[in-house]
This record gives sequence, C-alpha cells and structure tokens, in this order.
Amino acid sequence: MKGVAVVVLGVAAAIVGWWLAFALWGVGYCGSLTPDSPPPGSLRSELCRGAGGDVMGGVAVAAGLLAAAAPFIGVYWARRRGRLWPLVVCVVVGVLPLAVIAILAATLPQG
Amino acid sequence: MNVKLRMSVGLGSLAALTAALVAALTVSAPASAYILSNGCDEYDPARAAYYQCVPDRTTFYTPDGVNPNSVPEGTGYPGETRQIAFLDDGGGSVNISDNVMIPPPAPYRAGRDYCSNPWYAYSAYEGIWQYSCYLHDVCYGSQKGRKYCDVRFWHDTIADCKSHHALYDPRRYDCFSDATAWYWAIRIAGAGHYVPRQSNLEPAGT
Repeated sequence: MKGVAVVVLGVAAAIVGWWLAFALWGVGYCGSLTPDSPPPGSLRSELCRGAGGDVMGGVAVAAGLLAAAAPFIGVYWARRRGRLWPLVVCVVVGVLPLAVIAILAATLPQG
Repeated sequence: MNVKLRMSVGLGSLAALTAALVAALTVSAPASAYILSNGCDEYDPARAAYYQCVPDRTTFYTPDGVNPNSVPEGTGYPGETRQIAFLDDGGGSVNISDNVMIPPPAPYRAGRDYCSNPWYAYSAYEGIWQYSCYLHDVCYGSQKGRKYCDVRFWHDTIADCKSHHALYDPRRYDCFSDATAWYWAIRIAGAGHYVPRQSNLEPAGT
C-alpha cells in the first residue's frame, strides 16, 4: 500500500513538474500560446527557438522530472541511513533546478 | 435428491453468473456514460475528469470554475490593463481618450502556427485549435482583458474539440484534457505577455 502511494505521488509530482516547466518556462518566458514572440537575434530568441530552445526546453522538463524523482531517492537513502536528513537534502536539491528555471524565467530580459 | 441438488447448484450458478453480469454491467456503465443525465455535462472515465456545463449549456465551466460567458471584456483584474482596441477588431471600438492606439490585427492565415507551443507541450489537437489560438493572440493584443481572453480561449478550444470529435470518441476527451493543460498554463504564466499589439502585422504566427 505504501509502495502504491509513493508511485502515485511520484507520477503526480512528475506531471506537476512537467507542467510547471511548461508554464514557467514555455509560457512564462518564451511566450508560447501567446502572441508574444522573441525578437530575432535576442537572448530570448536564442533560448526559446531552434536548437537552443530545444535544449532549454529539455532542461526545464528534466528539472521537473528531477523534482518528482527526488523524494523517492530521498526515501531510499533515508531508510538506508536510518536518518531523516537525506530525504530533506534530496527534496531541496531536487527542487533547486526547477527553482532556478523559475527565477531565470522571471529575471532574464524579455527583449 | 441428487438431481434436485444438481439442479439447485445449476440454478445457483446461473443466478451467480447473472448477478456477476449485472454487476459488471453496472460497474462498467459509468465508464461508457460520457454524457451525464442532464444531457450536457460530460465525464471522462479514463481521467476521472468531470466537465460541467454552464447554465446556458453552450460550454463548460473552466478548470478553475469560471463560467466563460460571465466574464466581460476588460475586467480589470490585477495585473491587467484596460485599453480599447483601435479600429474594428471584432468587438473593440475607437475611443479617443485612450492613450494607447492599438493597430488592427493581421488577418488569419491558414497554414501558419499561431499556438507556438513547445515540443514538450505537443498536442495532437493543435491543428484544430489554430484559429482559437489566433483569436487568443488577437484578444491579448487588443487588450480586451486577460481573464476574458483566457476564458474565451477555453470556450473556443472546447468548442473545437466538440465539433471535431463526436460523443463516445475517446479523442474528444483527450482533446478536453489538452485544452485543460493549455488553459492552466496561460492562466498561470501568460500575464507577462499581455501587451498591446505593436503593428498591424501581428499576430504573425510562424
């Protein structure tokens, strides 16, 4: 039962992670689904279009998936150690890339 | 006695089989009952998603519980500006007191991509949503109210799903599901792109 709950939580977290990456980076910074498109030659164009856009999109998705996977790794590590701190460390480290993506999306220049 | 016993066992088995069949049909009924009893609400058993019709039965409530028909243009929600579109863009009107003159939108051009969704948010239904995406772009550019634009987008994409995929077609519910994800994405993160059109070449699509 515990295993099922963990898997359900993990799948839910993966969906939320992907979804946050899509919203924060894809829509929030790159302007997907909106009329706003990056000016050609701008940093935003480099990060959102073409090969550079594919790479950054992949990083955003990977960040979401890592955030989803981190609690599992943390639980496994915490059980082996018999301590709680590995779980805390994994969750913090797992969420960090997604947080960085969110900060970049909010602070990088739109032009 | 032995014959009676066999008969009773046989009848018992038949009754059990019938009961199991009835139970199976009863259990599976909701899975195929996409249209609910009021003839308008719909249920997607694969995702346990419920789509509730608005009172006038023209569309569904948005995923965050808003009746799209109840949101007027330029609602002035936090983070939104209210400006009237310049020239006729399908609802806007000239207002000389406006300090921003918004050029009219570029006409819709079939074959262009107005949704501009990233590869990791691919939807098999974006082809049927292109005009809805165009209208959403025009709505943002005309500054008709971000919430208004977003709920119209929901209304339009759902209408596209319904018109292209009949009842009991599983793709209808895939389409609803993708529309839900896109709606949430623009509601959460679309604010920074709610800006007036700069030229009559927008929206250009790609």
